[in-house]
Amino acid sequence: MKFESFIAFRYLRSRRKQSFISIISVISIGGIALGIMVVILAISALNGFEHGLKEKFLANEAHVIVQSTGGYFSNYQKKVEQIEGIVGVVAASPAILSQLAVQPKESERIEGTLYVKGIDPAQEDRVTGFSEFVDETVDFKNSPLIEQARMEVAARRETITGGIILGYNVASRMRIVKGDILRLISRLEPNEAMPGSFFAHIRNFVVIGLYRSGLYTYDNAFGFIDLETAQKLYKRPDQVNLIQVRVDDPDIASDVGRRIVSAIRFGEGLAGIPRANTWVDSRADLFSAMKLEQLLTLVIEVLIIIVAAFNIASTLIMMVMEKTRDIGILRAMGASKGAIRKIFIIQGSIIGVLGCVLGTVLGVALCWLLDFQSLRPSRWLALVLLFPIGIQVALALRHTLSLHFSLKATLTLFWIGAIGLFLYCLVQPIRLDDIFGHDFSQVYQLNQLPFKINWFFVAFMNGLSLAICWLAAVFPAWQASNLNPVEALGYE
Amino acid sequence: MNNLVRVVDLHKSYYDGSRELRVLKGIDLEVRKGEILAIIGASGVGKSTLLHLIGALDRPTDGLLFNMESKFQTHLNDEKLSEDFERVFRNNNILLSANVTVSTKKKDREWLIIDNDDGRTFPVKEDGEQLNVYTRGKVFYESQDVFALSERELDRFRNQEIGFVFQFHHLLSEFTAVENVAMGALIAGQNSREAYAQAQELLDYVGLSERFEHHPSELSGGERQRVAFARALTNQPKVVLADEPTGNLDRKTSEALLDLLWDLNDRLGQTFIIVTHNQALAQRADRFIHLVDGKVSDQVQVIDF
Repeated sequence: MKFESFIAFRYLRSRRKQSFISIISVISIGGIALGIMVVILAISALNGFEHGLKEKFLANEAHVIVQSTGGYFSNYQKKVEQIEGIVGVVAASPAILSQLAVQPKESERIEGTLYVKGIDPAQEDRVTGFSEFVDETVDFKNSPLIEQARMEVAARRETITGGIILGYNVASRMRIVKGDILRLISRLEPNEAMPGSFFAHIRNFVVIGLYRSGLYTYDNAFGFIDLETAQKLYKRPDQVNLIQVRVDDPDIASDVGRRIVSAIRFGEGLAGIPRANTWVDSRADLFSAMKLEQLLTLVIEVLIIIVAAFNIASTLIMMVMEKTRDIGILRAMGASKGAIRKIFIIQGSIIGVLGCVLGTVLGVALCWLLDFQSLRPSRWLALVLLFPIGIQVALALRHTLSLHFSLKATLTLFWIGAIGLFLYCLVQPIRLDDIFGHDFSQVYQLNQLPFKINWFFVAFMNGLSLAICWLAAVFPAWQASNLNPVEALGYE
Repeated sequence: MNNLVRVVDLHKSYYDGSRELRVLKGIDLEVRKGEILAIIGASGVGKSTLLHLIGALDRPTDGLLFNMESKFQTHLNDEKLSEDFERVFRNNNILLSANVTVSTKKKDREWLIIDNDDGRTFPVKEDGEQLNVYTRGKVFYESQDVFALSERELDRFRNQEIGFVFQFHHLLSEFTAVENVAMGALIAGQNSREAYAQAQELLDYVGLSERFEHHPSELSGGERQRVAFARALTNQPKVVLADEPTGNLDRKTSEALLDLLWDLNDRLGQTFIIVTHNQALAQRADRFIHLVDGKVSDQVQVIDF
């Protein structure tokens, strides 16, 4: 070891009674570690949140939606086949999406609107995995519930148009259970007999299943019916108004979208060019808000690190003041200015490195614990564990242990184990369905706060912090190296 | 010439704002190889300052000799000095040899008159209407002018050729006795095993074989000073400079320490320069010089404390 490092390490460990230095260096290391830990936690939470949402979206939604500027278009099966032939496309399915007014059960009032999507279940499954989220087998035409309802309404001389699968939250909001009848108002036509009033085309649908994806948008506002039924309902035989596409790599969905746009035509001229929206486009505001949030977090964390770096600078300045005489002695013994500078730069760097390592280990461990799914003992156990740990800390602070190395190592292992167990109990996944009595799980469409570590970012943050620590050490080191040796030795 | 150290016309002033405090006013002295030279004098007379200059820990300042009219400036720009110029010097009791050159630092309006025969240097600086003539003191180790060395060479020189012992032991409190003694060798870039082996040998030498791993706070005053001597001997320096080495010790301990010093001188032929106001020590030294009012006094007998 070069003598500069030798001295720097020894000064950091300095444990003389009258010296605050070692405590201050511990605090400085803690400052950096805290900064790094917090940044890893915060960014991992944001990152995990974004990832969790994306995964949900990608599991439930079509990655690309192709529409015609003219609205409905025919010959769609051929288009579907064409699209499925395009590179990057896994599957495509036709659908009709429109908004309808709803009248549940025997209620006389219209209770809001519902997005109704007409789908071909077999084709739909390949694109959005639809049936995975339905609690019954998807059978719009022959569900036993339909027959049951038919008999029920026959008395009133009404008919059943078909089955509907209803979003879980829609159903619970309207107090509808499976087998109930839902009236959809497909069209209003002017009543010529009474100007100003309208005929409503009301159709009876039987709720044959509930759809629950975890995505608020769908569970709260969607119903699904058979494609053929939808075509009849809107009087659009053999037409649809969109084609949904699943791609093999969602990250390049927009590339696939462009390929589709250039390959498919819905008619002559400009009007025939399709529009292709990707899943990112439809959530652009959300994703850009999340990116902005991450950026802001990053800026704040950098500020935390800078504050911590001021800690290092003041620690080193105090160290230089306390070691002024030593600096004079070393200079008298032939240590160069550069060597003196190096001693203090090395100290700053050691503080930085230790802080970064500690912060990274803690941050990563906490992220992992917060994301780790397992049945844990109650958090109260952590409080119980706090007692022996606290007693140990108090003892260690009061008495310097002079133990055999192997005993020390065993004790250290025990310590790490105790603290690990403490954290294991204390740090558990954060459930979103009950945060201080609020249920955020539906709004955020996630049951627990996910954490995902961005390793590139962790490395970047460590590098940045080290650079800042190093910079913080430059001034004190320069100050130390420029001390006049004679004055430093205490002569005037 | 068996002179190890030659000090030539050394001046040192401290500045407190615009006030000049002249501490050393032209010191000349010589130290022979293997001798123990004591420098004595009253407190504040500049003994420590002189020691620091000899130890190249500080640099001398130029001492003002006389001033002359600015008309001589034109002569300074010639390569050789005119006879007028030499006459002015002679009038001020300075005899220049025939071999004199002038170098100019145009930027600072400063000229250096160098007597190549004996290396004396006289800076001339412009000061308003007149020219100030200074003398620049030098310290030679054998033939090496130490203040001509670069910063880096000077650090190396201090490390290799000079050992310091201070009044207060000035050991590094975080380090054990062995580490303190080895530090000089570590600074020199020696590998630590060799440095520690050498340090243990030196500690053996000063009678501290039992104290290798002790920190300064665990040693007595006398033991600390012994460690300081061992440290000063690291790297086999040409000369050891000791500033009141016994100043902080009781009589018995200081006698034991001085016995050690003479023993080192006997066995190793180590040269010592000791600053002290301990009369007994001065009497025991091979030679002593008496510092009075920033100069070496001729009347060496007047040392009654």
